Amino acid sequence: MRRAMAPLSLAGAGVLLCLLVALLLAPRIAAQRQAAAERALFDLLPAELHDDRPLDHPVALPAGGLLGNADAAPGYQARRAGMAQAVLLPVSADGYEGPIRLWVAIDRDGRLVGVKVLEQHETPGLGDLARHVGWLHGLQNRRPDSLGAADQIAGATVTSRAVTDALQRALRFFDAHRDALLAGDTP
Amino acid sequence: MNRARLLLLALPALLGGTCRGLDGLALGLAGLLVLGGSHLAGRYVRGRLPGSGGPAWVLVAALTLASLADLLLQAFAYPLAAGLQPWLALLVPPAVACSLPQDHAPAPGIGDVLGFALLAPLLGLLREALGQGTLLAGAGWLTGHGDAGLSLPIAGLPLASLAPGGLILLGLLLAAKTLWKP
Repeated sequence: MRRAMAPLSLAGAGVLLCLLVALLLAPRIAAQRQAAAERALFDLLPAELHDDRPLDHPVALPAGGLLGNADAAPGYQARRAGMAQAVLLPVSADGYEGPIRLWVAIDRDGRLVGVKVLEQHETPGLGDLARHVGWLHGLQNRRPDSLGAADQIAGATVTSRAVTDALQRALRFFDAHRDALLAGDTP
Repeated sequence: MNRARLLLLALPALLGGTCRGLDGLALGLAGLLVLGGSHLAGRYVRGRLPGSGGPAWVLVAALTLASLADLLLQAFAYPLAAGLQPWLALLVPPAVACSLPQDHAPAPGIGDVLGFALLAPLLGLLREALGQGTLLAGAGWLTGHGDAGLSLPIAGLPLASLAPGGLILLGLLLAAKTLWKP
């Protein structure tokens, strides 16, 4: 009996130690997790465009309309020295296999400075946007009129059109509501 | 032969957790804590606990240390913790097996643990440089300058980033070490 008790009490001590450390580190781990999620969400923004946390400056956006979002997801302002330098907008499109949700950054001049895919179900190997990051980057720094002439992903015409169309809609939305978006008002 | 046993048992963690230099560095530090701590625990109980008490004590010590390493990594280097999640737990089997003498052979020494702690970052840096053509990518959370890292003037060979490429590189490293030894 005594021989069985020793390993058991050891295991108990180990579990207790881990629980204690987990409790002590819990706030730090939560903060780190939050920061990592923010970085993952905002890494499409060029660093020179913001010097604070975009999460602190949400802009309420309507559902539907030009952005085509199913529900009213907020956009965010990227500010530098207190002035809005760019806005981040969620856009939705109908892909070949299901909805595509994109996250775009548009600067003050109405140029597309970043694109990121939040959700997609396109055919693996063909329209799979996770494998076409280079193509997505090639769409940056464009104005709406030149987006229609952009190259398409070979074998994935529907996906390519859906994405370029969504980006055009986002840019048109920005042009239509530029002042409100940069002021932080709901368009 | 004990160094070979440690390497063999730590192979899954070593190949899985060294895709990038930073991951390798974190795995090396975690290995120092888990393997080194278990080694010390094994040395402490040797002769003190007769019968089956020794392995149980070392197992508890290794599991506790692996959990602590994971918690510390989450608290101080969260982006690395997510990528190393399964591989840290895989440090426990080599830690247990190598902290107790088996078949009348002595357990691996602290020098072998240090060897692992150096090998993991070295393999990670090599695999990242050859596989992606970058050095220390993913350090944005540390430096605040983005995740691109230093880019080298070589096109990446994706094989080096994958586990088979890691095995090949590890073999080449071991061969180089054997050749270099007088």
